[in-house]
Amino acid sequence: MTAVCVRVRRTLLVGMTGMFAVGLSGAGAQTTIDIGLMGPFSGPWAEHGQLMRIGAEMAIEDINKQGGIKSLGGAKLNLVVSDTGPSIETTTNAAQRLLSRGGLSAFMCCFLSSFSLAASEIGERQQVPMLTFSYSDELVRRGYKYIFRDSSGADIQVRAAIKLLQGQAAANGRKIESAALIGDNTGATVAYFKSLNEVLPQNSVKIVLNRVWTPPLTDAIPVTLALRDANPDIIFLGATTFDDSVAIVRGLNATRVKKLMLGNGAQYITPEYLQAMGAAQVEGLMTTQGTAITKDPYAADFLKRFRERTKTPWTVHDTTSVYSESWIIKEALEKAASTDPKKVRDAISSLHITTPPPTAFNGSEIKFDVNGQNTLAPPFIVQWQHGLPILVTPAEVAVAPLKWPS
Amino acid sequence: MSLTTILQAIVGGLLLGGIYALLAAGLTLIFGVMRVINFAQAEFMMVGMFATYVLATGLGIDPLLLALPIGGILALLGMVLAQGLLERVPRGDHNAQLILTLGVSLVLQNLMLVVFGPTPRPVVRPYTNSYWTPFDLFINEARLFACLASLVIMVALYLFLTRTWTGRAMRATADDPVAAGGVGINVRRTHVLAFMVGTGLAGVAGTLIVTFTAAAPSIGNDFIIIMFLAIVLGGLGSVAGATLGAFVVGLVQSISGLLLPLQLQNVMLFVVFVLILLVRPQGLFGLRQRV
Repeated sequence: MTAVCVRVRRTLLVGMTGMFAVGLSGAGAQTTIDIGLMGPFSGPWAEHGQLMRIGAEMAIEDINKQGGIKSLGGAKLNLVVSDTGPSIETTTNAAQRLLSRGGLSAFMCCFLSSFSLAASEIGERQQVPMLTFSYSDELVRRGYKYIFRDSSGADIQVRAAIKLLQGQAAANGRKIESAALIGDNTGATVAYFKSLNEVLPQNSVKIVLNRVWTPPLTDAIPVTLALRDANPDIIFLGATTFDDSVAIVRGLNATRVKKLMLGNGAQYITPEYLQAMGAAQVEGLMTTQGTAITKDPYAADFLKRFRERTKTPWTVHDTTSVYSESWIIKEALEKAASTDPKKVRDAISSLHITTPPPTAFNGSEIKFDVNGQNTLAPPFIVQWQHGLPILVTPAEVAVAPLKWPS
Repeated sequence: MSLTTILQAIVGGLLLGGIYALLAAGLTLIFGVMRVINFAQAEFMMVGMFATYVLATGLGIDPLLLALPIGGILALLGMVLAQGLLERVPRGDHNAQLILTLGVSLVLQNLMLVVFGPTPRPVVRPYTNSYWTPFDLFINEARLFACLASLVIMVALYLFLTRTWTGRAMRATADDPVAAGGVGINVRRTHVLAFMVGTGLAGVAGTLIVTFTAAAPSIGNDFIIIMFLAIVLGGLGSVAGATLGAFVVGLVQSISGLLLPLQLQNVMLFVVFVLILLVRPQGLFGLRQRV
């Protein structure tokens, strides 16, 4: 019995010594670094969450394949995914769960502005840096230290779009003097319409109709008939769910309201949107994007790999933004040489990225101001041309010029 | 406000109501006969939408032709669930039944999410994007066909419940299961049959709705509250009441959009709901005329 005890004790001692030795040799060389991704993986916006996830997974695979975070001994990135669900309440709970577990160096969030606003409160409180491509300008106007937006927001997009469209109108012998605003009451659209309400009168454009609903829209025809009666020169579309964005454009075609139309997000240019509508019904429809597949060869290569991976013909800013943000976090980790979220935050705020991958999708260099906004981010507008969503602005990275609807 | 605008709102409301009626009828039938509040009813509709998507896109069959076969498949699924799960829960244990159907709803939603992913799956037919335009009104043909098919099925359901022995057995079981058992009706089998009819109706509704709304795992959330509003308005357990309730819901949603900001559409619905229940707490057809 005594001999058995001695043997067990000796085995344990040898084992513990071995473990201690392994621990010592691994000290300072962390094997994985957790970064978070919050998105709607269930509920009416789940399609966009899935596209975000593909972007994050592709980026992390690329980063890890290239040797991980070199300043941290080649540590690999590990994606921790959290579902926001369908509402602000579920997003808040998910953010609390994700961030209170500890160990995250940074996280990306959340597609819908309402969700990003909710999660940003918790990110700021827990002092974990959050990157977002959501449109609401409130995200970067509250003086928060841990919230960063690498792409353009509603205000920049609206100002650029009006400048571009008025210029194009003049070149085609037309004028944009009146506008209609129709959309739901989610955060991105509220921000979009808030900017439009300020900017349109400044540019001598009268708002002749303003219709806002709580999704889902039960019937689009009354809205489109009101649009027909109001007869605006341009319609700003703010429907964020798939069914509402389909229904409203379908209704506009039915009531023969043929106007210049600008949407606010990726929902208008997904392959499923084309499948539901048909190329003829969407021809000329434009939408704003935070990031895009630009002319940069890196973006073209990414698109090729995306197609091979998903068997879908193109992607939208849900994927490209999160892909770019993952690389921004990678650069920050390299610079910080630490996984401490506070140090990563400081590194993000002092980054100046001038090369791809991020610049291939953001269309510019990346540098954040004190509020966390990438001040160099340009607005992107994509237009349906012959059944394909084509990047038409900004001109320096656009794939083709904007086509004025006949 | 022009007369055409008002007529458009009324027509829109009636079309909506026709579709809601099919969903509400199944739900109220299950409640009336089994006394089960089926939280999974909208998910059966969603499963019907995905089944239609698979068959319509894979085999090129028109969804309208698939309505009855898919209704049958959903009825079989209902039979399995009723016999395998619901009938095993002690009668009268409403909490257990409620949690069970809620669980079934979550399982179905997540199962579809795993199988089909979160991407919306539209089923596009020539009538999906076509509009009939009588008297300057715009009537989406997919919604019109769905509403007409729904009305035909509602008439068939009414005839089934009032003119067939099985239908009468269901009504008898709904009124008094003990007395029904006493006169030789197999109450257990009638319960299963009621659940089958209810889920079958949800499946049929799914095939009709998918012609103008894309199939998605979470689509049921858009309909479940509407279904419950319709059946409570009409009187729990009354098929005629649920149908009327569904039309009231559709019309209130549509007409309130004319008078109030669109954001208040559903607020108006709940105001009307509360007002009706204040006057008739049992609902429009409650208690006196069940099933």
